[in-house]
Amino acid sequence: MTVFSFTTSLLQLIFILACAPLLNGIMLKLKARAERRVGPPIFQTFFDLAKLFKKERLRSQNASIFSALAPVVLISSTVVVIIVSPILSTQELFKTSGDLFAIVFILLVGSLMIALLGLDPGTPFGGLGSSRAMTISSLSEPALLVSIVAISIQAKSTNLSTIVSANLSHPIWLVSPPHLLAIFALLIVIFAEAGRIPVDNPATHLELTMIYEAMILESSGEDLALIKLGEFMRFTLLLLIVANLFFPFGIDTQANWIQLILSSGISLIKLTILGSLVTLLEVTQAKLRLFRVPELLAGAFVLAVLAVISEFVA
Amino acid sequence: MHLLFYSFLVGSIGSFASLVLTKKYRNKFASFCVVLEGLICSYESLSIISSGKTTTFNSNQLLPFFGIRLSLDPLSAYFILITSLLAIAVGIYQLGYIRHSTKAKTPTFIYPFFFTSMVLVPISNSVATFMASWEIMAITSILLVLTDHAKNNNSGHATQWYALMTHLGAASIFIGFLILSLGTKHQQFSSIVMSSSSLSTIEKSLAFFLLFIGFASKAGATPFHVWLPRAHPQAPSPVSAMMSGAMVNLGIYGIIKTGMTLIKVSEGWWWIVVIAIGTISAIYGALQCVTNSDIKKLLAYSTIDNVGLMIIGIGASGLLATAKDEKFALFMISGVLFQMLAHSIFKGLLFLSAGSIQYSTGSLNLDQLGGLLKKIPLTSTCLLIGAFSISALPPFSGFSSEWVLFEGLFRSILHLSGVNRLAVLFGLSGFALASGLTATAFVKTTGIGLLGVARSSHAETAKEVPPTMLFSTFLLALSCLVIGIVPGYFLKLTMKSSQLLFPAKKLSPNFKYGSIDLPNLATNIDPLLLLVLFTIALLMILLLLKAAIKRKVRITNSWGCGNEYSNSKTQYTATSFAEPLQRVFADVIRPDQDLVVSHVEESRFYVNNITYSNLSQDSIERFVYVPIKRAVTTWGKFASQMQNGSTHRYLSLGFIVLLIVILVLS
Amino acid sequence: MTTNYFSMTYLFSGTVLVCAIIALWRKDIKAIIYSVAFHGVALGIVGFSEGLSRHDLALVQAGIETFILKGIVFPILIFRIFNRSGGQRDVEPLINTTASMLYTSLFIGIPFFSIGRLPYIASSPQSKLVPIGFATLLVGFYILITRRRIISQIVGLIIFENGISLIAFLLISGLPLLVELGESLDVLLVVIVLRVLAITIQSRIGNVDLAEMKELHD
Repeated sequence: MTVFSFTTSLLQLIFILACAPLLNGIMLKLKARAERRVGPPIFQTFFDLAKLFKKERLRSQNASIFSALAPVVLISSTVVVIIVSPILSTQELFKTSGDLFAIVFILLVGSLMIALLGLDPGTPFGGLGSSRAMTISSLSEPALLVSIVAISIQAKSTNLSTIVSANLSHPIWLVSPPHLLAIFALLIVIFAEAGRIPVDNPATHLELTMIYEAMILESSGEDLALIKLGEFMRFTLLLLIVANLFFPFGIDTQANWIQLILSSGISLIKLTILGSLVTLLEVTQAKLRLFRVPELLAGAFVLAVLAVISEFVA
Repeated sequence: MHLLFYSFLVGSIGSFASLVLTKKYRNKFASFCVVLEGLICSYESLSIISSGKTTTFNSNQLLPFFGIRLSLDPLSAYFILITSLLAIAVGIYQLGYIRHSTKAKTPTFIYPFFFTSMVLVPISNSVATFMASWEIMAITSILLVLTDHAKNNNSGHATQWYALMTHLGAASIFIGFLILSLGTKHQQFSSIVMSSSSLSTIEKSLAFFLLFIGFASKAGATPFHVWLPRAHPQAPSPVSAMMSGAMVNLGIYGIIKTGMTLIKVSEGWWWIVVIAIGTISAIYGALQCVTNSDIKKLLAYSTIDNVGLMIIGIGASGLLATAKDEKFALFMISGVLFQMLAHSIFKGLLFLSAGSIQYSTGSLNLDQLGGLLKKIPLTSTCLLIGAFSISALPPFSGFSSEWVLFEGLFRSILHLSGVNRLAVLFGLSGFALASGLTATAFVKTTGIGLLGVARSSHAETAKEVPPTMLFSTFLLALSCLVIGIVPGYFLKLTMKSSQLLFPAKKLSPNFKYGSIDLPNLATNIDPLLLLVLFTIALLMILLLLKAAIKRKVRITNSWGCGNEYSNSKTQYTATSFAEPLQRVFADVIRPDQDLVVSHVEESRFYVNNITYSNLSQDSIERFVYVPIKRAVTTWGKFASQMQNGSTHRYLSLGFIVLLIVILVLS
Repeated sequence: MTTNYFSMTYLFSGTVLVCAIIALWRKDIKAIIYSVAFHGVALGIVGFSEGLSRHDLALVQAGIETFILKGIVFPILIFRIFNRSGGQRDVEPLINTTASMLYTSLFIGIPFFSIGRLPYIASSPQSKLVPIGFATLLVGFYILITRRRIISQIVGLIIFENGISLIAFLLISGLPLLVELGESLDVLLVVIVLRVLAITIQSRIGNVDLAEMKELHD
């Protein structure tokens, strides 16, 4: 534990905290432009969050302690992952704890909390949302874990820092079919988990289709602000992890201060590019029917299995 | 070893005392004796594990012809440790759990014997001793399942299934042992181990699979599981906890013992079959767990799921051992044993909490519960901790144990080759799907059961349970947390116990502060660190919020689309929660859905009433066992025709059999 | 230099298989046709790069040929059938897609672990990729089995045939030109005949569903 690694982890936290709403703003703007609308300013999400923090907090009379706890737990679990994973530098604090399997399950804590939050006020909407969200999350698990295996095989480790460093020293691995397949499968899973468009539409409030929004329907004021912020942070975090797995160049590995600063700039660029790609997909694709989602996830699973198998071919 | 005998004595004193003592002291004394027995056993087993020595005891008097052969080694000590830890908690729990005032004698009398037999099974060192203790265990557990039969019609039916399956399993084990004994001309396990190389491959395979089927049926692996979801929920909750938490382990013990010690050199394809069975069990158990709404039934199915995970691990370990990669085989099997410890504790906790919920609400059907977190907060917290553990959320025990399993499977994929690797890959996929489904099932259990609004008057008037029951569940909940936070210490324990299976290789675990960190893994976890980070983050956020925002929360009605409603029936139920998954897996679950709409006579546009039923039965039972049962019944009818009461016919049948025997012998 | 060619071959062989899987995965016929086009293009590139790395002119030629024929000509032809038959976009497979994907994940692994044991396959790096060809072939076969509509069946046939070509490209220096050409023409013929048939049947009974064609048998 050095000053550098401590700064790195802190910087990662601040970076994601600042970039998460920004990324959402950029994506909303891009989406609006693609639909020939003017769209909100890119800092709109910050204003929205600030507004929510100021608003009164209502809570259902049926609600238990979960309604108060879930938003905070969501953010804290995300913060833990941010601290232990390599985002700007592979020299982050507690680098050995950034195990991919562990990361998956720490993030699951937040998801389960939100699912329980949905059931807490005893309304039909909340139950609907958490039932659907848990269905999707449980079906995406095989694809997720198998793609983790595929990604980890070449580095012979499930530790995220080790994988990123190993990939950096063997750039040819990055364009090998297994790696590409695994990343593709992982992306599908992230879309499902983060509730983006082929699976869930974050902009809808129609009860036939909504998943995530249904769970947090009862939350308001700072609860809602925390949940939204937590969701943006998680999405940004996942995109950055994928970016570092797919294209790790620019990340600091030598505990170099200049590289660390550069790395934040590069990460912002990576994030913007990935965010625009996601937006492009969201604009061009229609949301899938709920019962078509298993097909999507089964496809991701096959790709992940194929990735593991072909890993041993060459 | 001798300490164990004293503990048996203590248990027997308790059980016989319960026959003579008055109602007031009966239960207390018996429970005290069980707890004491458990304490002695756990002390003895811990000391055996830490010393790593094996002690034996032989007596020719106690059992006719064969005598008794006992041997206590670290591996069996580990199983005894788990059983006795659970028995202590259950013993304390039973102090408060006297509802069966009329029938209280039988269970208190039998229970210590059940416990004793579960200690005897892993230390048996000969075929005869093993079968004897195995049978005692089966019979005592059958009697315990029958405890409530006066009140409950189902328990008789469940017991029939259980008795049938357990005896078929025992028969299969017995034949397997016979093949081994005949082939090696020994009946003592240690001698069989020595001369197992003299067996031919066919003999070995036959023995392995017979033993595997027998033990797997005790462990509840699909497709030999049908008795488990019937028998476990029917027993009183403390007994269910012991059956699901401890008895199932002995099935696993049997599989490990057979495949890794008795038959020394195993074949790769056996383990592929084992992994396949494990994968099917994991997925099938998890699926049924998601779709059931009865808490205890759901827990029983999740036992099948967890057993499946352990069997996958055993299979991977066996494959690694046949590939001569003993280091990781050892790691894998330690992971299995670790998962077993975690499972026993959290499953015990869940069953006991379910018992508490039944105690205070009188119902186990999730569709009638709701809002319990506010009514009985302490019991609900215990159930929540159990649910988090089983869903593998950090920092609870399930997370650490599943991490070790996952890491082991990942290493197996790296180190194996060819078809073996493919098999482990599918085992891992099954593991992943099962863990996802389990998380869903327990969000359902806790979300529907504990949150929201009460769905019936029982749940409305729930009262907290007596302090002894609470104490026991708290003890288990705390253990879940401790195992989760410092898994390193426990993994070290399991490595020491399983060292005996692979004596050649030594992993030198260097687990600082209870984290799991092995040089060969190139990764580690440190749940304690994660927990500390998490707590700091949580506290900082709470403090920030408190400092920044001073407004109070306004309590209102839930939003009802503009209507004001306070009807608890509009909530999601457990059945509706599981409906999407039920639909996705309709081919496997095959639910019976029925929708009847009756209209008002005058107009068919007005609905009078709607009946919707959604019944998911065990599809394997329906499509495998029921046809078999039908065939057996037909055959039985045929047999009963032969048996028409005429002595001459019986004699002539005997004559024919004698003739056949002579012909075959000549 | 050869390693670069090899990684190129590897990448595009992988693409061939993935496109086959996507054809099985998607329901939208347009998407299926696009993926088959991409599939053909990738196959052509494999032949091309293998030819370059082995300095085999015939193979380069075969690669280019495949590129044009299977990547461009066939898809256009299929598109025309599709447009003629009009309307119905969704193909309802006999086995639902989720289950199909799971079965695929099961049988796809088999060639990877069994083909390597065959003795007569030389131990060149390319031969390690042969299982990809076999897996493609299996996927094509599976599409052929489970799909109802004639277009999807043609797609299955093409994927099947491409699997064989991929193996040929990897193992030997491609099929002899004449055989290759003959085979391609064969498929072309099949496509044309089926197209004529499909359109005729379409105009007669207004449907191109194989399951319903059973009635024509009587």
